[in-house]
Amino acid sequence: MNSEEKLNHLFEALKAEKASTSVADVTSWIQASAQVSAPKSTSKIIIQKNFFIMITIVTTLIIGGFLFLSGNKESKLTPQQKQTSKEAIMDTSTSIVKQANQLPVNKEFSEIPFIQPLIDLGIEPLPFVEIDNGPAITQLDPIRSTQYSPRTNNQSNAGSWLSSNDSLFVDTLFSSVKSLVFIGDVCNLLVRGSERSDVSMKYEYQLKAKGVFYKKNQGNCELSYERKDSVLTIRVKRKDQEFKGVSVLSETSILEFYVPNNIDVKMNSDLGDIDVNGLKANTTKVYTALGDITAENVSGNIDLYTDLGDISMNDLSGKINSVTSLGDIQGEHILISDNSKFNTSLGDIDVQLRNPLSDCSLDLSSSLGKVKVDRADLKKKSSSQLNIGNGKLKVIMATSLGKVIVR
Amino acid sequence: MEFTKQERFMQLYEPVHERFERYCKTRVYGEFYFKDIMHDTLVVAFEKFDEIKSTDAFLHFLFGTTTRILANHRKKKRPEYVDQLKGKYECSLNENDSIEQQFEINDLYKCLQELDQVTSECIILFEISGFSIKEIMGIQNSSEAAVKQRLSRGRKQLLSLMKSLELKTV
Repeated sequence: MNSEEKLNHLFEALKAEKASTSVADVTSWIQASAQVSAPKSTSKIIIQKNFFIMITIVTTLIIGGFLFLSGNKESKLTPQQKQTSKEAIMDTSTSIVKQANQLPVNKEFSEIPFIQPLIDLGIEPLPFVEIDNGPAITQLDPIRSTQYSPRTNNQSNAGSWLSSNDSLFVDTLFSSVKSLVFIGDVCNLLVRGSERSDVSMKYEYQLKAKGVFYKKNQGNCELSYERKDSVLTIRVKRKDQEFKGVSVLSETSILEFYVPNNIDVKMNSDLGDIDVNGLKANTTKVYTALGDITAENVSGNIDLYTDLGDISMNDLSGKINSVTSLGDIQGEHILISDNSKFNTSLGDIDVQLRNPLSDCSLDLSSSLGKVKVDRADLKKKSSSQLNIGNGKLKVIMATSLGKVIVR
Repeated sequence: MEFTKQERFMQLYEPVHERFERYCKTRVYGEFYFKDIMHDTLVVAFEKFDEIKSTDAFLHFLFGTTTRILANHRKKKRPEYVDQLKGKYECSLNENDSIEQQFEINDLYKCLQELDQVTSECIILFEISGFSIKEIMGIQNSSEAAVKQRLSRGRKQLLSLMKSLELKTV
């Protein structure tokens, strides 16, 4: 077979090849596209892009400035306040450690009806002597402390714990709580929903230092609570330590809540990750300035905000607002029951919606990225914006620099 | 009885569906997934369907849209990414063909990519999609002589390319 014949033969073979798509496929593509409205005009897109870029820059500057300026806020305490803190710290000795149940506990504190402090004293006493304003000491082991320091004020609905020797362990219960609020500066938070009637709180704080140094302050962490009309507010404050010398520090601050169903949860942390799991709350509001948010198996009105961090969602249902400035938003098995919003300035959005598209009105946009719907019932992509469906549930997903994918 | 926009579009499109698919498959071989190009083309063509003044211009409109979309896709892809893509979609061969024929068809596709765009398009439309010279004249907006010239030159170039490819393989 010469080349000419071979070429003809190949052309014939290709011509005889059957189509792998059908006219029905084409009809479905066209019908799907008919539901998609026309994209915005170029001028609008350009304005939107500039707007998002400006917002991103301004947000970053504000956060940066805030973090930079708020560095030594806690060290500006008055001498009187410091004195009060020191008085509240109780001395620890070996004998007390061994007899945990006989620890002196403030009478007023023990009489509070809704709080039952559980003292964690299973740790060794101090392995070193510390002298204020004294010469530098060499410390090779991490600081260990057993001190539990309850301190209450005259009101029965408020109290606090102070760390001693850079450690604080609290394990307690609160009953008759309808709303749980947390405000703290540095803390990793875990909130777990469970079938129970009271709120369980466990807090662990530990500051470990290695090196040659001496420090002035004690009691650098304070955990306090306040209860008002079934609203329980928990606060964590960490004061800056003055370490003079050469040292390596590692700090652990973990707060864990076990909460009953149908209570409102509001978490506000300046720094740290937040993990909420199994909450069947009316309202769940979570904010962290610097940290990731993970939400799993949560229902109700859900607000997840982080300035610098990723948001990961799994099996959520309800009205969802998920906003981050610098981070990705990832969602699996999301069922929306009201208008919802997923926004990021610099990051990707990838959400798997369980709702049928006919129920939704999707408004997807990316200023400098791609927008894509990749579902069995609709496949559609665009370089800037997609508006799909006319359903009751309005879902907005927007990013400035990144991809938006709806699955 | 008045037809809807979709019905009017499908009436014109349906007769050329298979030929259009073959064209897309060959045209984007090794670069993109042909169904993506088909989808994008048809969606855009349908959206702008009302802008066609005469139904005679449908083929020119449809294939012109494909060319523009393809050019747009190529422009958006960075060169190194296009290189990565090459070969990724070399899977559109007919499973019923023999292995030898599949290799030959693969070589033919590669040689078609080597031709200049208009010539390659002309060959694909005539030899693979099965459009007549008159239809190609409409699609390419060219004279009969120009189309015939392209077909003649294109075949010669293809034969030459395929020979050199065979020699390389040997």
